[in-house]
Amino acid sequence: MRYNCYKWFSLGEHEKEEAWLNAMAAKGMMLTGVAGFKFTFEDDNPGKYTYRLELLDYPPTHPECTAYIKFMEETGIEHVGSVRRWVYFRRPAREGAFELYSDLDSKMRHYKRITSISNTVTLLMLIGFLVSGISWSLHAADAGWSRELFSINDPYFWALFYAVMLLVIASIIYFNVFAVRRSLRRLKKERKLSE
Amino acid sequence: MPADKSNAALTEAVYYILLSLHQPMHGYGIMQNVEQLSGGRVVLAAGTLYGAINNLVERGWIAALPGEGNSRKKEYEITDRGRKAARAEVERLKELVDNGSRIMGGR
Repeated sequence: MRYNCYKWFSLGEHEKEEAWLNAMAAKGMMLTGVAGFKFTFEDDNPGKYTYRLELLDYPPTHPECTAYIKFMEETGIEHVGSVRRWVYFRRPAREGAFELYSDLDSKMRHYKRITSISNTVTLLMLIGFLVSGISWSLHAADAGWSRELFSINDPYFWALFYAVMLLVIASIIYFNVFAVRRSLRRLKKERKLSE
Repeated sequence: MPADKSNAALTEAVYYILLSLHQPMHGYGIMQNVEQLSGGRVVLAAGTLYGAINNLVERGWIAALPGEGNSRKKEYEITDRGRKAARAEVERLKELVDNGSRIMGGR
C-alpha cells in the first residue's frame, strides 16, 4: 500500500522531521518519496530502515552533490529524494546505527549551513516586513488611522497582511533555528577538548 | 591548504584512512577496514569519510586511481607525501604514549 501525507517542517526542525520519519518506519511505513510538503510512504517490515536528512551546499543536481550522493550510495545508503537543498537518505537498520557524520567538525559545518540560511531568510523577511509595514503606516497616517484601514477593501490591506505574515514566518523560523544555534554552541565547547 | 603543518595532530579518521590506503581501496572498503583495524571502536560515517577523502586528495596525501569510467567505484591510494605524514603522526603518537607511560607508569 502507498500513502501520501502532507506536512510542513520549518527550517531548524530537520531533527524533528527525522524523528518523525523514523517513528513512521518503526510502525512499518517507509518513506519512498518526497516532493515539497508531500511525503509518500509504503508498507514494509517495521523498523527496516533508518532515515537521515542532510542540507547540502548546493542543489542535489549540482556536480559536487551528485558526486556526494553517488559516494553515499556506494556505501550502501539509499537516496530517497530531495527537496530543494535537502536530501533524504536511508539505510537498512540491520547494518547498525546510521549516522551521516562521525566527527564534530562535519556536524558543526552542517549546523552552520542551516543557521546561515536562516540568517539570510529572516533578514530578507524583515526587509520585506519593513517595506510593507512602512508603506502601510504612511498610508494609515494619511487616512488618519481610521478603522477602515483593517478592512479587506482598503487598497493597502495587502501591505498590512504581508507585513504581519512576514513577521510571523520570520519569527517561527528564527525560533526553530534557535535550537540549532544552541546545538552548535554545545559542539563548539566540546570541540575545545576533543575532536 | 596544501601546506603540510608538520606538528598538527591528525584526526583519528584521517590517521586510519591513511593507514587503510597503504593498499588501494574504495570508500566502503575504507569504512570496513577502519572498523576492523580499531576493533569496532572507530566507525566512520559516510559523510565524514567523504569530506576527509576530499581534503586528503586536495592536500596530495592520497590520490584517486584512474578508474574505468563512471560505473566503477572510485579507488584511492596513499601518496609519498601521505606516507610521510602518517610516519610523522606515528612518531608524534609514540611521544605521547612514551610520556604517558613514563609519568603514569603501568597504572
